[in-house]
Amino acid sequence: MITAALKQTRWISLLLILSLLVPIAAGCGTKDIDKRMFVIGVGVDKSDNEEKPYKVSLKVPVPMNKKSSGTSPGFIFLTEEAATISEALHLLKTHVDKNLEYGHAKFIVIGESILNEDLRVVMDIFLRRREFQQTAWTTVGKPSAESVLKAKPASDIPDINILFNRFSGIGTESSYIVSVFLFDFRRQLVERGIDPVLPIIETNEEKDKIIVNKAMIVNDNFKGKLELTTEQVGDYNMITNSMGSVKFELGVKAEDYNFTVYIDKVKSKYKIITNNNKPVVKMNLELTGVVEESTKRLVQHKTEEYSRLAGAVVKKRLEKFLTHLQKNEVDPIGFGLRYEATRLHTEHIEDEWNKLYPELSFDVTVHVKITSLGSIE
Amino acid sequence: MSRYFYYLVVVEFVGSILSVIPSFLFESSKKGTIMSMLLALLAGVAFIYWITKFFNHYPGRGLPELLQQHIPKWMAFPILFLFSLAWFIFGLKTLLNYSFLLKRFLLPHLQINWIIALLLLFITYSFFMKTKKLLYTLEIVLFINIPLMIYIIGILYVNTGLDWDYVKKSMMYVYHAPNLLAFSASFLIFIGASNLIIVNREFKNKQKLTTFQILLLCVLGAWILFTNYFIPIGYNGFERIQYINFPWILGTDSLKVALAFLERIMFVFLFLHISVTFVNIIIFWHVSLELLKSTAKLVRRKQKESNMITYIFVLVVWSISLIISMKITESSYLMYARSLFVAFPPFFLLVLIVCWFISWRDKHDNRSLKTN
Repeated sequence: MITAALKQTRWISLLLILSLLVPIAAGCGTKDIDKRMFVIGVGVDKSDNEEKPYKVSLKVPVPMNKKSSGTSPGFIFLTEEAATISEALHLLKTHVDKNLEYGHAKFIVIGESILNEDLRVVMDIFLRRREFQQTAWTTVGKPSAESVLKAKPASDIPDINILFNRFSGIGTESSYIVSVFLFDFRRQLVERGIDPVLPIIETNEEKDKIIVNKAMIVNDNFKGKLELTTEQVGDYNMITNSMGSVKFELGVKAEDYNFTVYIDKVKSKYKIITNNNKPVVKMNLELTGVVEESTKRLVQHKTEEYSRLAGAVVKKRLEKFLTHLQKNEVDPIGFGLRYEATRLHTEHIEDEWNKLYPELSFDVTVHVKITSLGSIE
Repeated sequence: MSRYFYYLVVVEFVGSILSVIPSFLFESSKKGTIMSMLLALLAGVAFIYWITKFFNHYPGRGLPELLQQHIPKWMAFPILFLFSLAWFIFGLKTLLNYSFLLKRFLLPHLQINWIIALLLLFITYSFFMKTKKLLYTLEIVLFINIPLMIYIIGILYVNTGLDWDYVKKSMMYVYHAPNLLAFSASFLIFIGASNLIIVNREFKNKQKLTTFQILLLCVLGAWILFTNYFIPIGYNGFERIQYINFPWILGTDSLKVALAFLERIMFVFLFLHISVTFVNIIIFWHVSLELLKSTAKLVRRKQKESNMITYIFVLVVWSISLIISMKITESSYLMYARSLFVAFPPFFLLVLIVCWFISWRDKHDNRSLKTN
């Protein structure tokens, strides 16, 4: 009997404690979802105004009634110039009647004009404020971040995922797209021995087209920036393999042959060898694919020859790409990082590498494995 | 050993991940953290070994009983009081750290003292629980949380966002001389076993710590230290990681998962961590309270059962936590924590010395009994 009574008092006391929580919960000032607006893209441009150098644009979807507004989703675009990004964001709050939430900001678009500034300063707020996702895609907007956010491509499905599908690999799967998360961009920016790469989103004057197939290498030490062409982006993806499985078409043009191989698997690894007289990067790639198109009849027993030809093409392409990077004094692949990661740290390791990099030669070995010649010979 | 012993150790392992320990490790990331972690691993496992070996000798008895039996009152009193205070501070530092995290990431609009008051409401309830019930609570909480936590840490390991080059780069700083703060911080992961000073009262059967069990703890501790230090480096880079206030939060936020409707797993991780830390605080303060009760028993003649001490303890906990929460900021907390952390390893050495002294007296008493 006594224990039962004790149990009862326990339960009562627990209920009392819980009831105490009710007024506290009411004090939280919860905002309902209809009092919030979810920003999906933030763009930062440089303005002409000296005193207010930052021009911040936001893309905010507005949920609408389907009956009244047809099929196209509504977006509102907010733009403000201010001395700092946070001030601009704060000012933008007064442009709308709801609270702006940044927890769903999937895109951070940096205008081309602002790339010449110290990006560590520009990106600071996105790392410091807790709301911004570290997995937001960071991109460069061309000609400006604002125009990219405002672009309304006719070809895309009319919903929020206009840009989303391209970078996540859910919609578009292409080896010409680099997708960079914010955390990845940050670590590449602050780390020496690796330069950050950002995809470029281009739009035309009418703002009815969005093209993503170029990339920009941002040099940390204010040595400028380097734009990568579409093919070079493919090369970059092949080496870094950031997409998991890179898929691309490889055109082979030799004396007698002209065919295209569809590569669906790439494995790459590299080593920096310095014990010999000449420092060299030994890179090993293994590609697997099938023939997609040919101007001539291809025969089974010559598959190895075709593989060899395809390998030679890739080798030439990559060596050209790597020397191009070296000449421009940028290192997006992270050779410098790998150098420091495989040698015990000394005080001079940074200088050592800076001296070494221009003298580096590249030795690329490519094995292409053609598994099939397709449905016809 | 009883499985409850492992819970005590593991709850501390897991709780370390989102505490200030990783930040302190990164502070000296270019000055010999790795060496300090290795040393702390040895010291920590040795600590666990010695303290469990001592208490296995006296099944069913906690430190207060042993002190009472073998050591004069005037010596036992300050020791017990000091220990009680120390365990109170462990709980307090965990509570503060945990409410800062809550404020920063889950409840940004709520005042810090309200958060603490809210937590204390539930913690207060635990003061009236028996040690045995507390161990059951611990078991349930760990059973619910650990699998999910291991799952998330597993994803962190296999995700493509983790770049091992950064990790390898940080390993290249291995030859630097160890650093005191990093050593203390990593040693603190291993203090879970010291809760035996009270919890041993519940371990009434004869226990044994085998070599295999020590090895298991060693491997587990090494893995936790490795995860604690290297995973955030793999995600946040090495160069400026010491300037990140919450490296683990940024690390887990770098994951994009497709788990039902979830995409940002950081908040799930935070919740899991919070429930584990919650039992951690409860255990620390339970030990502190029990030690305080024993101290009071030493002084009082009449062995009357009363809840007086508990009520006083509740009052002290509430007032101190609330007063401190109003005064302290994140940066001043870090400052105090830094000096506290450095003081912890000597304190645990003191714990071991007390244990050794008791066993020495015990043997001595036995011998003199025989000669008489």
